[in-house]
Amino acid sequence: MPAVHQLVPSFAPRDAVGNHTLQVQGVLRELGVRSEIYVADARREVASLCHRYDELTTEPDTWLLYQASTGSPMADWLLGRPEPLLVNYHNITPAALFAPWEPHVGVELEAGRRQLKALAAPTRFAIADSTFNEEELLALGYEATAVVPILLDTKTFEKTVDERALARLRHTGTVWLFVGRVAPNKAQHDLIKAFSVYRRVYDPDARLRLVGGSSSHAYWTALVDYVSALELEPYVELCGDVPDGVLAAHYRAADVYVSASDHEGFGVPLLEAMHHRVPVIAYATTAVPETVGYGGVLLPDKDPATMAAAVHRVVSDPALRSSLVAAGERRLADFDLATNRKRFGDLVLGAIGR
Amino acid sequence: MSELDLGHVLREIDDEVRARRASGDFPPGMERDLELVFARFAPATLTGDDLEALVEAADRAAFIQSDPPTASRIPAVSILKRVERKLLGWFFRFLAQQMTTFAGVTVQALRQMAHRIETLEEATPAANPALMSLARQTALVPPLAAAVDAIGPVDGRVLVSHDDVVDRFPNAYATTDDVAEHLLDVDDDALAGLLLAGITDRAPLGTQVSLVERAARVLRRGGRIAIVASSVAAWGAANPVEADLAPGRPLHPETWAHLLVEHGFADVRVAPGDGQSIITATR
Repeated sequence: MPAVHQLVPSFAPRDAVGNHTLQVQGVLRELGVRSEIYVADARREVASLCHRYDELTTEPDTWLLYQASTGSPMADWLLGRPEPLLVNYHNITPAALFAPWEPHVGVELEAGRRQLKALAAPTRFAIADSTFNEEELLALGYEATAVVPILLDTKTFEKTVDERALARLRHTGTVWLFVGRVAPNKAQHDLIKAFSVYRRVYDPDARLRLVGGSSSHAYWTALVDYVSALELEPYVELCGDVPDGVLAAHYRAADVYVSASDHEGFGVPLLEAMHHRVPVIAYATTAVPETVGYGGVLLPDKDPATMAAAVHRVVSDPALRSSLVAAGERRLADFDLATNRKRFGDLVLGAIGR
Repeated sequence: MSELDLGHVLREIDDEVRARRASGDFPPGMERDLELVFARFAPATLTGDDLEALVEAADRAAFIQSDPPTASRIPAVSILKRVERKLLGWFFRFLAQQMTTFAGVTVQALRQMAHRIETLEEATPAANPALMSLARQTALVPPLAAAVDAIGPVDGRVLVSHDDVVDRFPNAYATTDDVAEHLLDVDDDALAGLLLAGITDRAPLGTQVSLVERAARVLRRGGRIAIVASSVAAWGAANPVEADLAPGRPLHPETWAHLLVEHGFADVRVAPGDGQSIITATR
């Protein structure tokens, strides 16, 4: 029986790549392929589901599947392995977006890009979760590639709403929501600019809620200072990481989901917003257009005036809002898990010659 | 297929922005003001190609702190951290001293390099008018008429880098200042057209990129830009002295096109010519 073991630099629960890895393991096992998960680092909640990568022992007919999303010593280690290699690419944030804020993270991301390039030669086949990511692989010299969206179980979006949180979050003014790590590449500061314009012109009682933990202390601090300098303290909420029930309450309380992110390899929260029937407005960059598709309003730039006017257009027209919600639900259905699992499995079987 | 006409929605949003700008709800310079406030809190390295600011940032980061913070929401963890710090302090101080020494020496080296670059920049052709004059006698003549045609009819102010073509647009003006500097003083969305001819070839790379960044800001939606760019070979052949001494060199038309797309321009086209291409795009 062949084996395809996954190598994951950082394995975490409630994380897009972590969930995807578990789905891939399920697919492979259903196809009669032995599959274990080997990690460099794992959160305690999922530690029992994986092994340390330096404990990997293999037999003949074993393939390795690397889940590439950041720089890791694991990638250098893989270069010295004899087993045939597959890569599943989720994108690495360009260092230039991070380095001015967190130079050490910039170095890690730069290393990740270098490693990804070095892995091109030994990789037999690579799967990217968006066309945008595939184009990066091709530019780095990968020859055999395909696109399969991240294996996304929308049931994981189904969370019991924390009613107490919802009662606290309900608000009469327009509520903007963005979910994602507070990081320079997510450009929350551009949302604050647009929101500032929106409050000034359309709705002084509006709220902007930024949900997500910090990936950069310097950027977080700058956002806090920026909000203060614009005198927006009561109106912009930096919510940090929240439990599942509270996240569901945020979606329930939101009037619109707005993204000004500069870089997304896929963009799971965009789909999560669609699942929660929140209309989506997003700056069309990197993989965002192919994730949102016809399911939301894609803006060609993130000029604050344009973003503010776009939100006004959507929230002030109930018919448009309903159409967008319906379009979002249809778009979400395009990421059907069973279809994508089958395609992923077929591609891996083809790559390993089964 | 979606019944939703998202293209129509985008046009309505554009109309709304235009109407609000006209009414003064979105005042000129609003975006720039917001950007400037954020720039107060952003790292110096984000605010442009200012080498001096970068060296200053490196200098500030050169000192490696050996005392880690010990605060925690859990009091016992805080105590544990303090004990660990006490026990391992000698070790971290030893490492931190070496790293600080290395960083300090590196910053010194950077300062010296910055100083030498500054000296080199001062010795570039811009500081040698006689040599530049000689070089420009053989300069390529930009195809201005074709560039004017490429911009097409526009309704609004147009900035042109050559005053020869000011009268080709109903509401055009030329500037005798450095165009990149001048654009800093132009309000957001203030221009309907921008014609850059014969000024980009010699500019340093940072200025060439800044020109596109600033054009993206000052051109209103639907505004047109035309850049006349020499081919590297033709420019070098026509101006060998200048080509050797200039701080920058022409970019390939594909690079201009890439920069324009990166900065949100649409309908980017390259019209190749004899030694010079015209790159046009719509904001």
